[in-house]
Amino acid sequence: MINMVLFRRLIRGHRIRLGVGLAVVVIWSLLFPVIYQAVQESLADSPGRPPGGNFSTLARTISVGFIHPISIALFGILSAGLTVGALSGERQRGTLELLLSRPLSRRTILATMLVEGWVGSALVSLAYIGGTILGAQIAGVTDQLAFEQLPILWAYGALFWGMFATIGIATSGSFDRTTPAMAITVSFIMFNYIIEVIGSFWDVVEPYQFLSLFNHFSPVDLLEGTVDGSAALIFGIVALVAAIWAFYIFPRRDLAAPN
Amino acid sequence: MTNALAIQTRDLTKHYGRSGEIKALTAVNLEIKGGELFGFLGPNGAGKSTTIRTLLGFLHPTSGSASVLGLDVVKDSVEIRRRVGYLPSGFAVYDYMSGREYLDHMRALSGRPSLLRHRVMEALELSDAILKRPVRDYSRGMRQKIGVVQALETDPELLILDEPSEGLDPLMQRSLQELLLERVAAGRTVFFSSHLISEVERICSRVAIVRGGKLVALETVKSLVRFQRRRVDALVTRKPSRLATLAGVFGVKVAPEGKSGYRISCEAESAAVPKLIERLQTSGLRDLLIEAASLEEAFMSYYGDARHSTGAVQVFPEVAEVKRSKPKAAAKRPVTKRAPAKRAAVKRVPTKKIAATKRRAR
Repeated sequence: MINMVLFRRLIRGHRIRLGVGLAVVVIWSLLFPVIYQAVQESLADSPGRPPGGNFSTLARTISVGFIHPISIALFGILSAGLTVGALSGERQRGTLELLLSRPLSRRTILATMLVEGWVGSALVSLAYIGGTILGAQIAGVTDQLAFEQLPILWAYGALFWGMFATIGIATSGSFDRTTPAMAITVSFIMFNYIIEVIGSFWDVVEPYQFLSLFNHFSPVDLLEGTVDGSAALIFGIVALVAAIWAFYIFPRRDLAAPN
Repeated sequence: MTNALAIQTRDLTKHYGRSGEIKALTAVNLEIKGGELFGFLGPNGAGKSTTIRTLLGFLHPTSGSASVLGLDVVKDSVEIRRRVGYLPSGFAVYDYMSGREYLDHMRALSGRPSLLRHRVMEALELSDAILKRPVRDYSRGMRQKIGVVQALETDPELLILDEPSEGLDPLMQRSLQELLLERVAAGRTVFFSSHLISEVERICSRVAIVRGGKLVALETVKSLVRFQRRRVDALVTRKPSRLATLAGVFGVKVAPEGKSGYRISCEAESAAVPKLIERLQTSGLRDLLIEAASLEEAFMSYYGDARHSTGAVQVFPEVAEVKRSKPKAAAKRPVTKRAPAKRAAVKRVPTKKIAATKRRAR
């Protein structure tokens, strides 16, 4: 279903972005156990202050890092960012034409690019967890890290961002230029994120938080062993709908000569 | 791959827009035999690339059908592309690759062995050292050469080349033409789309001319040229009479030349040339100039008028169906504007060679 020659070329084409991006994610994620340890030390120095809030446990601290705006940007670049420019970018540069002149069906090309997006999602999730473990070791808090929950956190992270990667390929296959595909995908992610953030402190929006996909992604629950299967189902359904659209629309599109 | 049809289209139509208001192709009928070097002419926007893209499955026909190497362009698109080499107009490459990496990548995607890479590289003067450099450092001509190599290197049964000479210098253009003639001699088929009329005339056996999405001519190059008008310029001693009444003679102009002569200029269909010369001889023919028709003139006779009057190919009136069996009908349309340059094979014919000229015209 996927073409390995094309897949290798895609990875090669994105190797710098992937390499640098993943390194930044590792560095970023290792900060959170260190921050956690610093907060704990600070609280120990101030025994009068209650130990609540986002930095009260290592799991909560890691969770903050997972859905921090910087993380959203990094994760987005390394998952949806790979797919959103895949087809439309090749089309805009004029290289899609030669690719399509090879004996590859459009579905094969699409599937290969989609797999690359999912690989990016899996890698970025892995990098975050790897950085977290590294940070926990640096901070000396590995005893508080629920190692047995890390695979499920990785899987959910990969699924969550793989879903956005699928939306990215769906928009990419629907347009001849990267700008509208990028705009729609970024707007979709931003909309979901803003609903979740605003709903957390504004009562009017709070009832609609469930509409945000971010509302269903709760790393702290995953790390604390409270796995919500419905979240995976939601992410899977959204990804499936996006994939169906992509596999429907791209093979049927007329690809006129690039401008 | 000879004799069988390499490309066949039946009323191939491609319209864009919700109500099909943009008519990119309308009922195009083509038959290209295996082993043929077929020229496909038309200016930008005439429908050349649309035809090619439909043949390769990039565009879906609105109506009609097409087959390539006996395979349906809609159902068997992948198999067609396995057997076709393609060079698009405005060829683009992955800039982060070297020339060699790009060629290896494209060959690997095609799933076929490289049979002709060294031959094509040699012909186009591409060295290994050049191929090691990143493509982003290449000039436009170098990129085009890479495009030619990727299209030809697997020795495909059919080559579809869209403006292959773009960016190549005249020497390389000639090398490319020789390469294509080699492939045709080896039994391959070449579909050669271009707006460079001279090169189509030089190497192609048959040519189709598209205009406003319609096929307006489909003939051998020789036939197209034969039925075009000749421009005749003569010097006579006496003012001729009734020249304009001759069938097939158009735009007769008579002007005094010196003290005792007249300059006659007109256009004539090839069949009318002998009669015209006879008439001129009776007026004391002293000098005669006949411009042989070129493919460019044939092309301009299909394009010249409307281009100058409207400035846009797409808005041409519905003037022409395929003139496969009636090339003369096409020639009868008035030609008010002619290509100012590139007149082919201008011949000054001394009076004593008139008889020979007559025979040629016949």
